[in-house]
Amino acid sequence: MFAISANLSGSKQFNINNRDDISRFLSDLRLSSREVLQLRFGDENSFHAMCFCDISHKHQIVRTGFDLCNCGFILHFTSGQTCSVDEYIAESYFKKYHSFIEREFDNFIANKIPLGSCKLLKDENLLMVKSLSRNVIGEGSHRWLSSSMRLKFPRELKHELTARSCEVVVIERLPSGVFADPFELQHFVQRGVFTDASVFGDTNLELPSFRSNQTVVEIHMSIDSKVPLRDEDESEIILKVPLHARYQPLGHGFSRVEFGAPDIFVCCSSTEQDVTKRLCQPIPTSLIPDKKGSPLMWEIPCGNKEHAAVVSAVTFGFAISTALLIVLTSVSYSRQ
Amino acid sequence: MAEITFRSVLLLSAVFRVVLIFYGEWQDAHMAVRYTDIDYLVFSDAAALMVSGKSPYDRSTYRYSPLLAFFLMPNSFLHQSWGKFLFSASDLLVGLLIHRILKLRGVPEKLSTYSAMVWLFNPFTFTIGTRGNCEPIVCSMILWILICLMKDNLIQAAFWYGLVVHLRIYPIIYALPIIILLDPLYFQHGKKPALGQWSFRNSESSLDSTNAEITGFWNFFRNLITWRRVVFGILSGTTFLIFTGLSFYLYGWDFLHEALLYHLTRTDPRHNFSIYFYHIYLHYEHELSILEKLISFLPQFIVQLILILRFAPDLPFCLFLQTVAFVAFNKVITAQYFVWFFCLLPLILPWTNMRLKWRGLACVSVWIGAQTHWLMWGYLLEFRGKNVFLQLWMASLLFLAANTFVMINVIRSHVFCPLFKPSSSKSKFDISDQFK
Repeated sequence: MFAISANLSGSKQFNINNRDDISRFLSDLRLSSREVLQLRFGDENSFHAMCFCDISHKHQIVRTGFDLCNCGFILHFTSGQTCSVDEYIAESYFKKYHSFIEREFDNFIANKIPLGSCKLLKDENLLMVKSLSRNVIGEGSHRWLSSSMRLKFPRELKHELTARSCEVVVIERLPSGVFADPFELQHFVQRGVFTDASVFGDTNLELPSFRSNQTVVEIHMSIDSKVPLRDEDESEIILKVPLHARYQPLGHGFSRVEFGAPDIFVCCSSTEQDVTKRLCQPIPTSLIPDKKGSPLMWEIPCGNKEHAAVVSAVTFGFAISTALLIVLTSVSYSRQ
Repeated sequence: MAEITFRSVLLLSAVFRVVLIFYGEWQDAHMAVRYTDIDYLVFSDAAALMVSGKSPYDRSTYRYSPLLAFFLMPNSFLHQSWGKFLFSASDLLVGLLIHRILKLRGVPEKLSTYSAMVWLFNPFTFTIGTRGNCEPIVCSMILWILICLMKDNLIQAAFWYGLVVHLRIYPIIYALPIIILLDPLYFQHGKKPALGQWSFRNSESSLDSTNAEITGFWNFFRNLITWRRVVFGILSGTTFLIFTGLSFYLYGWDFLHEALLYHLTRTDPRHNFSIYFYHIYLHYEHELSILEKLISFLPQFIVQLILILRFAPDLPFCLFLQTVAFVAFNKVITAQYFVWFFCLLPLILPWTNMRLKWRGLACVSVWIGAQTHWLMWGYLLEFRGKNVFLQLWMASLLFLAANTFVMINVIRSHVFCPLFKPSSSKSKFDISDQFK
């Protein structure tokens, strides 16, 4: 993939292979206002062009074609075969690594998602997540992780968003004390609450947490119905993931399970000439103001190690005693 | 009240179950909490996999014989409730077989009908079949085996016994009492064994010849090798091996691990009625030693052995007690195991001296009370998130105590009535001759 910048003062060609290249390229640009920046993506024979200009004002308009436009900034591009991603973003990580390792997953999210994905540059987004509030609701071993986000839709893009089918993809890295039931999630998909859902990692539902690995849950929720009406720019999405507690390692009283931040993406599918492409744009949560300063926690009751000796002794003693009682009764039973 | 015939009872039960199945479908579609058991969805998925030619063990948590998935295949092309209708039908079959067994043993019609109603109108029973649990099939097989034994259909009995052990491992505990029952003393050449009759339960001589069996250790073993017992053993063993072998041939180690080994080595630390759950959880981080495993097996072993040695001739009673004890002393107890002895309970009711007033009611309320008490702590732990492990464990001890209480009372008020009467040519004293 390469980019060509064409402006009034001549054209330059850059090779772009990864995200760093893009940022470097853009930071190298020094355009004065009203300059036209035309970027072409694709190979020699087939490419789509976008035009941008007036970078300093950072308005967001995207148009395809060669016509000049007044404003724009790189947000979203529609071409290139590398744009497509797997049905599930996390799937490609698990195809390669098979089990969840925090550092590798961070690396994957940051870099290895195919470059075709739209990239965040500065503070601009295709879609902005204005706020994110997270909560663990419910009581006991079965609770819901609720993420409520306010999305800001750029006015000009509203039509385009509903034309393509877009969805919000939330990837939750579950701490090892809790798990999500894939069959329950499928039930939600069938009922239409989510467009898609999947669990990756160790999916053994029965092991206690000190024997199992971390899992990753990926939920897709359609935002077609959420694109706000004419005059509004924002709408709210609430995503609730049902979670279940595993049996915790032994301790005293309660065991604390902490939730980190999710990875949020917006993915849009478009069908052009019978080819469906899917593009994803990450939305970094570090930039989203978080209402809750403290980390999200769930307290799960756990067994007490000090009980072990007494429990074992009494259990076996009780079993033997009741067994002897039954034996006694049977032996003293007269068949007459 | 109009005359309660068994036929009308059966019809009413059938209609009620059909209504429940339809209600279950409605609830599944319209309410957040499902009526259908989660296991039923597992069976259906496994059956659907089988229909498309794949292994049912690709469905995680499918821990049964592939035969079950095979019988549920119509779920995919007929209707998803086919399985529920199948299970409810076997549920009704159990009621029918109970009635039949009691009539064969000479129990009057009214008493037989009331006993069968204890199964057919038990809320536990009609929910379990309509929710899609497969236990009624196993229960109907056990009762059918009993009938075959009573009618001296040895080959059939052996076949079904081999099959039922393949489906569910627990009936293996019935092997020894059945072998003991097949005492040549009962079988006269050319005639069916005479069944001990209910009307003579109080007057029959207690001189059952199996008393002689424990005279001398070596005598016992020598008498064990009789042709009936050998035939039964070999036929049922072969049937079991054929079905297991076929399943292994088709599905490999998956089948062995999920359907057999899982049940034999299952140590589930999650809370359940068993007294061992907390012990297992507290020691989960390190493997249980061989000593610990043996110690937990010892009470079970002792109880089973003594029950068999004392009660085997009265087979239904023996099976009932063995099943209650097996469930109570098991490392894992889930509510569906209770059906295993609920189907045998009506078979012993006509022989008990226990009146419903006070003693019978006491047993029922103690058992249900201990269960409810456990469920309350379980609810606090699982749905309210309170740390009540210790209290829950004590509630499970109480539940074992309740089971023991019921067992002791049942034993003490039981009128021992051997299934077979010693055949007239061999017994010294046969009271029924006087009534000819």
